[in-house]
Amino acid sequence: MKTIQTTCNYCALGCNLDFYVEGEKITRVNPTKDYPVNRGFACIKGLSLDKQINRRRSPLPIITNQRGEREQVSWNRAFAYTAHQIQELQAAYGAESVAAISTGQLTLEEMALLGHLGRNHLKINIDGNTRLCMATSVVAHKQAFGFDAPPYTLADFEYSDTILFIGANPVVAHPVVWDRVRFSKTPHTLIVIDPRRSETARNADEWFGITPKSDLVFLYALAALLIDKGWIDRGYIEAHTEGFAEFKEAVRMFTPQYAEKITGIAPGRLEGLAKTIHEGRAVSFWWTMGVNQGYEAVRTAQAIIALALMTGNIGRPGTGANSLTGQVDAMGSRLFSNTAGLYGGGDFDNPKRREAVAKALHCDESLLAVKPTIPYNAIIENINAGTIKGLWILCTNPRHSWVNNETFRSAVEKLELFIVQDIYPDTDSARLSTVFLPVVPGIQKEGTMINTERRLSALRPVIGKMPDEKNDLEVLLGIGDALGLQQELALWRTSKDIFNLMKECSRYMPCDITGVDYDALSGSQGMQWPCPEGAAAGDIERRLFEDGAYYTPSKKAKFIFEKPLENPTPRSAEFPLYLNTGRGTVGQWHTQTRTREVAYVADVSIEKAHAFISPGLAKAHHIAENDVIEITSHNGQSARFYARVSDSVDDIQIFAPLHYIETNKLTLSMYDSYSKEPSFKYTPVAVRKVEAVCNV
Amino acid sequence: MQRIAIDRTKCIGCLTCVSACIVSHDAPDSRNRVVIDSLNKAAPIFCRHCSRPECVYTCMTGAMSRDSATGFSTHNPAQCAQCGMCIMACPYGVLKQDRMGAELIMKCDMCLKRINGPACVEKCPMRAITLAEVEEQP
Repeated sequence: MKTIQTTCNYCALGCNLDFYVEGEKITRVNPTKDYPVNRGFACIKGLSLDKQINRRRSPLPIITNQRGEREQVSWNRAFAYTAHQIQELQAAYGAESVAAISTGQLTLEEMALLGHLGRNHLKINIDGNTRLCMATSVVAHKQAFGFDAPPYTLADFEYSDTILFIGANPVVAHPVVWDRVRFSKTPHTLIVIDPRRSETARNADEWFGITPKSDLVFLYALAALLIDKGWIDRGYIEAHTEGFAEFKEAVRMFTPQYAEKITGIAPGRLEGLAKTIHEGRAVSFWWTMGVNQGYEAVRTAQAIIALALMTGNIGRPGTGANSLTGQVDAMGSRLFSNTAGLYGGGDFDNPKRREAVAKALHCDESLLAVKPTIPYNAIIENINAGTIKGLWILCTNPRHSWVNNETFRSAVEKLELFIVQDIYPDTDSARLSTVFLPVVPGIQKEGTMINTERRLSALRPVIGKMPDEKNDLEVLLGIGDALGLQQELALWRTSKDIFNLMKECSRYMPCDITGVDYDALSGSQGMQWPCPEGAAAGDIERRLFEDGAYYTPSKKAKFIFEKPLENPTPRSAEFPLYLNTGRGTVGQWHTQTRTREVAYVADVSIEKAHAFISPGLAKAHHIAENDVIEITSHNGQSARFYARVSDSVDDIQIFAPLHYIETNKLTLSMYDSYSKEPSFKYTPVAVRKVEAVCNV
Repeated sequence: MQRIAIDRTKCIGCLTCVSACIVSHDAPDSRNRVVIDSLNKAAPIFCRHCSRPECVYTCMTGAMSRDSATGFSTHNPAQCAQCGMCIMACPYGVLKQDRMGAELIMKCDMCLKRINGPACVEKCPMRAITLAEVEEQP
């Protein structure tokens, strides 16, 4: 019996688990007891990682032939065919006629290789599904801190005496976080700001059920109140920040009375919250998708950062303006994918960084991509406009997950080449592919993941591969070799090779990982960046900015304000309700391609799309529990759902779990101006009852 | 006597109780589960430690026994002949074999080895699962 420690490759916590293996059979999965993230606990997804292997089919690729038939072929044929198709399209229509979309669930090494192959050699655009998730926080961090640097350690939950969750629902989205909050030995006050009375809100000491998308006004009004009362840390502001005077002046107009009209929160309650923050010794602010997925999301995230800065709640135990990420290797994608910036950070037009990265990769500087990728939405728009003819997606399912997802369906119809690299051939996207490249799941792969608190952890294979089975790295190398790049990829043959290249790219950058040894990560407690070569390892749980020095040229953090936008799509007589979306249950992961395999999860998951409506709305429309309703969206689409009547939403909101393809049929092609992250959380809709269903 | 009480109106189907059960027993499987009922509501399925336990009555080897002081029915794998009668007899469909070796009966033991009591009770984020005092039924 072997015991192998590896990393769960679902959510951004990256829990570690011990797999007990006899031969090629996994007999048991237990959470790693001394791993600092999950400390011997895990949610059902991690404990069921061994169960996502039953619905896979043949390990061989599938090509749709000229007669439209799906044909199983050898790997060599698939590599040659795919490479040839890419080259043909690029020869006919130009380099950027091909694009790729990856995911925060690949290892950083796989993402780095894809970035090198695609961005440096093929000169194509590559974005990640992290655009749907973390792009807002990335931009907010870069502008305010000078680098995409989530400042916290998860241990800060346990040091905090005042915890604010803003657009975050860890009871469902990050259960291990919730476990740490709930069993924290520090007495704490828990505040939840969310238009929906979420599962976390139901556990809060106080819940602020703001009007949907009034978050920015709420936060500015809170900032104005703290300033007005003098409940701010002037010493910290003067020593470590810039732009406060302008920010103070700008938020002055957001009086509690004005805010009440927009947010629905009475001035007394707002003042009470300001007082709670003022009286807290260690106040921490945590946000996730409720903030990130909005049309003015970057400024909202920066308003949270401003609250932490002005009250001096950053860089100390239990504090921080802290973004909880979505996918396990979102941070790896942000730092080492060569998409929005150079490997290890730095813009593509930064000559010093170009020189350093080229040297680290042992290549000529002219090989490096010269501009950032176009974002996800532009890739889809360019397909629909006919300028992109070939798309390669890796471990993601945009037919389901893309905002306003019928636009992805129409895009696929225009593609000449649609390569899908995934575990399963039957995802909504894979079924539309012209080339399907099957890969093994995470329990058969190796590499490195960087979690939400900047922790690098080891993904290690717990079982081997069967003949013809390939992992993502092997598929990428196979296509690279077939493109004639075998010699150019000589230094990129293994995960360890690539990790060492990325280490060198990170040297002297904020995310310096030159002190991390690839092999030593196995069976370890992981290592947070920064971890420069030769530096003392420090505590196993470390936070940034303890010295008050930020990554901006002035070393000061920035207050950033922008006047809230006029709502681009307000409610109307035709669409009088807001549609909000989010996770439905702990067990369901995103588009359910993997978690549908887990019997525990399938047993408790509602099979079909459903939406939560308030008792008042149900009464007004004569809708009963489990009746079929039709929701019509401002985007022109309609979809049917089972009605769930719940007091978690008010009479102007509907909440639909994102795990069903119907939900994103309704969302809008609307994006934050800076991050280009879609505004998933806010869609004007109308509802009507279709039929009464007594028993589903 | 204490029993696990379930308030289905609070259950969100998060399966934290299932995870807690697996972790508490270092086991490949849980001794509880949660399903969706005919009205799409989460319905936890837990051992009730019945006053008149069919699993104990049908066990021919004495592997399944009831402690008269606590009222808990527990399973001793060392005595088990793996006949499956307890699984068939359980009126609530709770019992099952372990999925790997089909050698163990996945039977709730109220986490008697844990200082803090049943892990499912401790971990339930919605307090849908609690410990309640009940009177022994005659």
